[in-house]
Amino acid sequence: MTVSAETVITDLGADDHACLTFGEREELLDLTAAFARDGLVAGLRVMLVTQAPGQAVTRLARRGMAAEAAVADGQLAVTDGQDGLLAGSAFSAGHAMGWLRDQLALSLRKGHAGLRVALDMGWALQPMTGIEELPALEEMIAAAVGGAGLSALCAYDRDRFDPVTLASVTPWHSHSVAAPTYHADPVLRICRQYVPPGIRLAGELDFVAAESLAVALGEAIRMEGDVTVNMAALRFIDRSCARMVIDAARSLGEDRAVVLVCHPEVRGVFAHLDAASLPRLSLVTADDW
Amino acid sequence: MTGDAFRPGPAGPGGLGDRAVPAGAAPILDQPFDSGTLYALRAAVQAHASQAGMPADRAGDMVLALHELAANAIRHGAGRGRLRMWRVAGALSCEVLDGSAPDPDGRAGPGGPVKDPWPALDGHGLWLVRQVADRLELLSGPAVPGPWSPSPCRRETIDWWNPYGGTAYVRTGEGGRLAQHRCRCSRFPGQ
Repeated sequence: MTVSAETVITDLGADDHACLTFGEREELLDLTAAFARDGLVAGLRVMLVTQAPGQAVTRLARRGMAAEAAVADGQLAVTDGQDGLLAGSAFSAGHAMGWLRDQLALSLRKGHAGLRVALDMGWALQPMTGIEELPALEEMIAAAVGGAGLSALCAYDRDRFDPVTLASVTPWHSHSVAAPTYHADPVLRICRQYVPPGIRLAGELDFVAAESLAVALGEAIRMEGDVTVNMAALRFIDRSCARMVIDAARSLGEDRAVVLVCHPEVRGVFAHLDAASLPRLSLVTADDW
Repeated sequence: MTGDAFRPGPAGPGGLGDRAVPAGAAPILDQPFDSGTLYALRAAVQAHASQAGMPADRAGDMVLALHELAANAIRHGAGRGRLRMWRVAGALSCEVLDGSAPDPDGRAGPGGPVKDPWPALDGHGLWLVRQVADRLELLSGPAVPGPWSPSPCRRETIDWWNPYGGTAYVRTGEGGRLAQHRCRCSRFPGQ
């Protein structure tokens, strides 16, 4: 069993133009959060273009980021792009790039080191004129980064974008990012999680994937700080794998806590195993996270 | 099918005995499984439980319980098994058949060496099954007709107890290795 990884999100710099093709919303949220967090720490102004701007700040805060404060300070901005990236109901690559250049100039005037923008490209799935210019926008972004203080993460849902569109946009990116993956098949996916640090599981987990789980848990234990096991998208876990998670939690030092984020269907297994009685272990239902 | 039923676990609804599967009743599900098809087995159980009107959380318990029994058959038995399910008087009765073959060394006879087919290091999930099932029986006996039924085996008595700490053990009586081990897990919708 090998661990595969493309560019790690935390390795992106101030002049990178990266592409993320995601399969689950949790993957998008985690990598976008890491991208935003690192940008804020680096003194950049961070802009999130997302389909649900009203929920974005709350979601970042739940992951432990001081998102509200960053918004209040003007270092973080969230938008659905309708009044900037898009020109009403039409799309123009030139208009969109002009808006990005304006945002970069604003960031520099405000004294920030540059602009880091995370674009959930789901808006490009809407029917609109001019959408065939999407590759042209990616080409313009690629030309704009590099010494200008602009970095971008363009996120495409690989289940909703057709392969032809993906093939036309991905070559304009300097990096392709993904979370290190410990297991990936149609039934189960186990990945590194960055915000908060830990691992993320999706699908169904049983003893057949125990080796992959062991590797993932081992790496999570070797990280510093608290560990989150995000099972919000995990619909099934069997007893033996739940025991592995609990045993991993037990092995951490007294100064480290473990948070198990559980899909409602999975929480019951940990309840049967009395996981909540362990010190420094918290069971959180995914709806509340 | 003959065999000695062990003492049942924690009390469930009364009158369970009269919900026995009628002889010759056609199962609503009859599915072989191995390590590569457990996900399909779980999906089938989930579908039938939902279709029978079982609430989502109870259906989840049923999926978990039957998975654990199937996992036991795979990890500690022949590596494969068969699940059958009947709808009986408003209940779902399921049977997980472990396709273990008879011990070729034939350790038979009273006083002969006893070999646990399921070394009880971690309870094999049976404790968890007991937590969620309304009734659990572990039976051994002659083969059930089917496409790959093993040959008839010896009858064994099975003791069951649930010691302090919640760890469950299954221990065979004297007479050698079980050639066939069958677990029946019943779950009653709405209870």
